[in-house]
Amino acid sequence: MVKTKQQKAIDFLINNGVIIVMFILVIYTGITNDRFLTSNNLFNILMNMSSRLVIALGIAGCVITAGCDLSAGRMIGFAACIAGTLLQKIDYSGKFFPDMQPLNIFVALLIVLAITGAFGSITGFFIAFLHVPPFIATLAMMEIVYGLALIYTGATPLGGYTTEYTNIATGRFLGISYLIWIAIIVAAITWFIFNMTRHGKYMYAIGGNPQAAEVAGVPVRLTMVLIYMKAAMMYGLAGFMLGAKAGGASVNLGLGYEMEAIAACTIGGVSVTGGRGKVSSAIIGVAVFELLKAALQYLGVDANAQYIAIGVVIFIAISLDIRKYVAKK
Amino acid sequence: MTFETIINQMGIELLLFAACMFFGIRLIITRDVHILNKKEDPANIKHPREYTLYAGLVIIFLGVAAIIMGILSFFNPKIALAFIIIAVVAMGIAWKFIYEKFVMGK
Repeated sequence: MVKTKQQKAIDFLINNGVIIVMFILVIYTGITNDRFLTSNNLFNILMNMSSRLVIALGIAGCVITAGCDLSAGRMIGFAACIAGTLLQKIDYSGKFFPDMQPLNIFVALLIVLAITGAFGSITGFFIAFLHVPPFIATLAMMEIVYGLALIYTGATPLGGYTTEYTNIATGRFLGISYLIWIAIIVAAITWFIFNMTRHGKYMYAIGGNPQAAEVAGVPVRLTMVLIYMKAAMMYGLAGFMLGAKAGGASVNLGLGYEMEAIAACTIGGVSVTGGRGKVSSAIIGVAVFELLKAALQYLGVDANAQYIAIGVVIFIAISLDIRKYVAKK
Repeated sequence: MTFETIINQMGIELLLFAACMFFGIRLIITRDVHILNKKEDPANIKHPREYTLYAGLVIIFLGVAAIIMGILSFFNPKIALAFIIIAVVAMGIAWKFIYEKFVMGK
C-alpha cells in the first residue's frame, strides 16, 4: 500500500512526536528564560549527558537484541563505590582502607571494568546458556550487586577522593571537559562496534530474528554474553565518571538510571522490540532527555512534578515505539 | 521496627517481589509465551502451556527468595547475600531444565 504525503506527514509527526514536543519546550524555555540558552548552561547539560550517554550506549546494545538491563543502576553504584574506596586520599580521616596508598586512576578504572564486566558476563551466561529471560536475569543480578555493594561498603557514603580522580570531572582538554571527551570516545568506539564489526552485525541479526540468526551460523550465545559484558563495563565506566563528578559515592548512586537510559534509547529510535537502533539514536535520546530535565528546572516545575513529567515521557515514547512495531507487523 | 525502617531496608526486595508476582501470576493465568519473549512463536514450542506454568512458578520463587533475603538482611547481610546467590543459581538451573523439557525438540 502506497502512503500519501499526508499519511507520511502524520506518521512522521506521531513517530517523532516526543522529540518535536521537547524541542518546542526547549525553545519556549530559551525564550522565557535568559539563563537557559547560555554557553555555561549548555556546557553543564553536556557534562550531565556524558555519563548518561555511556549508560545509554551500553543499554542500547541489550535493547537491540530485544533485551534489557535492569541491573545498570546498581552496577553504576557498585562501580562508583569500588572506585571510591581505591582512590581516597591517604590523609582522609574516613578512609575505607586506612593503610592503602591510593591507586593509579587507570589501574582503579581497570579493576572497576574487570569487576563489572565479570558481573555482566554472568548475566549474559544466564540469558544465553540457561535461557532465562533478560528482564528476570538482570533483575536478579540487580539484587545480587546491590547486596554485594552494601556488604562491601557497609552502607557508608564515601568521600575524600584524590585530586587526580576528581580532575576527571574538573579538568579540560581543548576547553572541553574530560567527561565529555570520554563520552565522545565511547560513542565513537560503540559506533565502530555496531557498524564495522562482525559482532555488531550479529547483534542486529539476533535482535531481528534470533532463530534465523542461529540457523545462519551466528554464534548467538557468545554474542549475547559479549553484549551484556560490554554493557556492564560501560556501566562501570559511567559509575567511575559519576563518582569523580560528585566527589563521593554511595550504593544508591545510579538508582533508576537504567529506566532513564532505556527511555532515552526509545525516544531516540532504538526499538524495544529489537533489531533496530543506532548510536545516533542513543545520543539524540539522551540529549532530548537531559534538555527536558533542564528545561523543567528552569521553568520552575516542582521537583516531584518533574518525576511525573519524565514518567509520562517514558510512557508515551515506549507506547509510540510499540505502535510502530504493531503497524509494521 | 517501624514501617519506614522496613521500606528503607527492604525497598528493592519488595519491588522485586511485586514485579516477580506480577509476571509469574500473569504467566500462570494467561499461559501467554509472549510475556517472556515478544518474538517467541508458540508454534515453535513443544509444550507452551507447561512452559509458561513452570516459568511462572520459577519467577514467583525468585520473588519469594527476594523477600526472604530482605528479612535475612535485618539479621545478617552476608547470609542474606549468600541466600540470594544460591536462589538465583537455582533459578537459572531450573529455567534451563524447563526450557530443555518444554521448549526444545519440536
